[in-house]
Amino acid sequence: MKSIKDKRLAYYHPDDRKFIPVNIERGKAVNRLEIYRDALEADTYINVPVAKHHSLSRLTLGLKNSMGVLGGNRGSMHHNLGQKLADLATVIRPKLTLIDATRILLRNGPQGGSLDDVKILDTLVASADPVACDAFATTLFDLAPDEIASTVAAYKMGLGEMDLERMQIIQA
Amino acid sequence: MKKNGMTLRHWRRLSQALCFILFIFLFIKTDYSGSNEIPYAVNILFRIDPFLAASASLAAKALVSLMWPSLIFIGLTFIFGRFFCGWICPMGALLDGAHRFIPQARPGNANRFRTFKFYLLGFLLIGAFLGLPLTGYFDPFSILVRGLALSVYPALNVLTVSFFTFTYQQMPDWVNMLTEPVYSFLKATILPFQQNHYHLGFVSLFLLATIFILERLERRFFCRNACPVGAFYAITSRFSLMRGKGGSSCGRCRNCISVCRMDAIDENRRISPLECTLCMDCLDLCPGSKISFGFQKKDLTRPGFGLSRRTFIGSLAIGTALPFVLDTRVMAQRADPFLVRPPGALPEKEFLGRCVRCGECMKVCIGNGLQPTFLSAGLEGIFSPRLNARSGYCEYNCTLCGQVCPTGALAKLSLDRKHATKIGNIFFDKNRCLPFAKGIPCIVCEEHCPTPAKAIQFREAMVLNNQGENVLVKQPYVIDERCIGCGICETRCPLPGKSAVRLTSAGESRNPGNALPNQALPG
Repeated sequence: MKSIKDKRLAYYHPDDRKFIPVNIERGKAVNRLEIYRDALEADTYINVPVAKHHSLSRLTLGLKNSMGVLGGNRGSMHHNLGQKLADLATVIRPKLTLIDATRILLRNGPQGGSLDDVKILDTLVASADPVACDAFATTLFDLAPDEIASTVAAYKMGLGEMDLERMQIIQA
Repeated sequence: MKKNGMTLRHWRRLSQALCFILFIFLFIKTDYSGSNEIPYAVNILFRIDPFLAASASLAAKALVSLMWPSLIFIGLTFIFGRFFCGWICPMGALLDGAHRFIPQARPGNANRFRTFKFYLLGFLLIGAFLGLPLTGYFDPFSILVRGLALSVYPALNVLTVSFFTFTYQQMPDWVNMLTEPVYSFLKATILPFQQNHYHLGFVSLFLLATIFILERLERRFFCRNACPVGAFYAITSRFSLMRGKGGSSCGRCRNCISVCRMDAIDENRRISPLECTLCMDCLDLCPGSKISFGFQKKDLTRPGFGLSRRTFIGSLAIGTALPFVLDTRVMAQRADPFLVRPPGALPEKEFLGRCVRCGECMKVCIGNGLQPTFLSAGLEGIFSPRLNARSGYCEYNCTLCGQVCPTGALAKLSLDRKHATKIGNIFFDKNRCLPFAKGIPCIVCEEHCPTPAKAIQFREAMVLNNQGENVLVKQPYVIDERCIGCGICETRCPLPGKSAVRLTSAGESRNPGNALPNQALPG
């Protein structure tokens, strides 16, 4: 932050006043969520998750990371999490998802773990399609895209592609 | 005296104001600021307090090295007398500042309680030595900081945030153009990092307010009659070199007597060094300029304390006898299992002896997990810190409480040592925990568990849910050797009301008598 030295750049702790209730029109498992206003109103919203293990969703990737804009009772998301994350993805639509897989946490996530659980990949995964981005990043953990419930649920709702064969994957 | 220049009285006021501002600055800085490090000596007010230094050392039966700065002030008092009370003390500055806003009751017999503070000091110190830890209820800084930290400061935040929430949600944009920058500025400067909530907020506020209400009876009532720090300094001042010299051959206008906030000047205009706080009001207001302060070689007669020997011995006797009553209670045999002390806390008796109930650890706690104890540690344990894991947890990568503790009641731990310090252990209530009780999947406790290899693990089990269906769920269990008792699982348990996972003090490192059945004793 400080090394960039640009006054247009700012970072904030969440401001509790800014969570507003939003109806999830297309929601299958949840129909109302409290969402951070900036995430809804921003011209461009870029989602930058750090890829890591998670005991319920198996992995934290783009769709799971979007929980960061939720207020209210986040604990209630945990039942039928995959579908609820897909429901959330109908209203939170990042223009770019950039998954940080430079160092990935393989076990004992999202909190906990030690350096033995970390694998260094030096990889970034970027896509304008949030589902495709998650689907590809899943393979970095030696898992198949259909093993992540939120990816499958979002694909079924037409929010993006999960078939690796149908993606154009460019390596730089 | 010069009419226009700064007189000594004005210098004294300036000193009071600056010390008070410094105090408030350090108070605000006693907070999380983005790193696990407190850059200022925020607890310095307590560490220069000779009364707390004496009581903590007596309780520990050793000199508490953290408290060395108090020696400086004892030394200065031997030279200048009780200047601390008049020039430095933030409580005194507040009382002096507030005095004009407090309506006065009819004057009574001012000297009635004058000696009470010496009896109290004797009682508290001998009690501290023998195991009756009551100093934190009478020390002015404990009362002040606790009242501010647990009540005034969080309330200030509620007030400010409510106001700016109102403007943010109800006012037009042009108002917000003005108010939002103000709010951002306040948040960056004087407001706390987060809104904390505390038990006993009203009690600590009431204790603080009492000192101001007593100001109705006479100026500096608390300082004259009750303050044990003042008593300590008064005893030291008996031997001080610098003395005020009153006018014995003056015109008897009695200005000095009526202006003295400590009632330190008697009918013969003699100034008692025990009570004089060198406020310099009399010096400036004496029409004949008959009053002076200086190092007088002659006339070093030491004034007496006016103590009744019988009462003083009585107060020592009570302080000696009461500690033995403490050990007759059930808690001496078996402590409250939910009384979980912060990491680095000394063994219970030593901990209570050193803790001055200042509330700094609770103020700085990132998880808002540390709360003032009510009665579960006994009457003498009120306001001592405990981890209330349902409302807040102990952040795994934080050691702030040990950094701000002024007396070492909480040891300053390195992060590695904190990670290895067990303050308690959790257990699951299978009658409430969803995968056990209702066959509903839930993994929130495991998700938050911060230990490198998680202390909470799962067993998969086929159970009947409430619809009579067989479902496969993950059921949590705890590995005692890994759990350090941070309590985040209890805080985050999504059940309404009581958590399905509870933290108790079982297995705490500081008490081998509380070891779990299979726990290896620290060798």
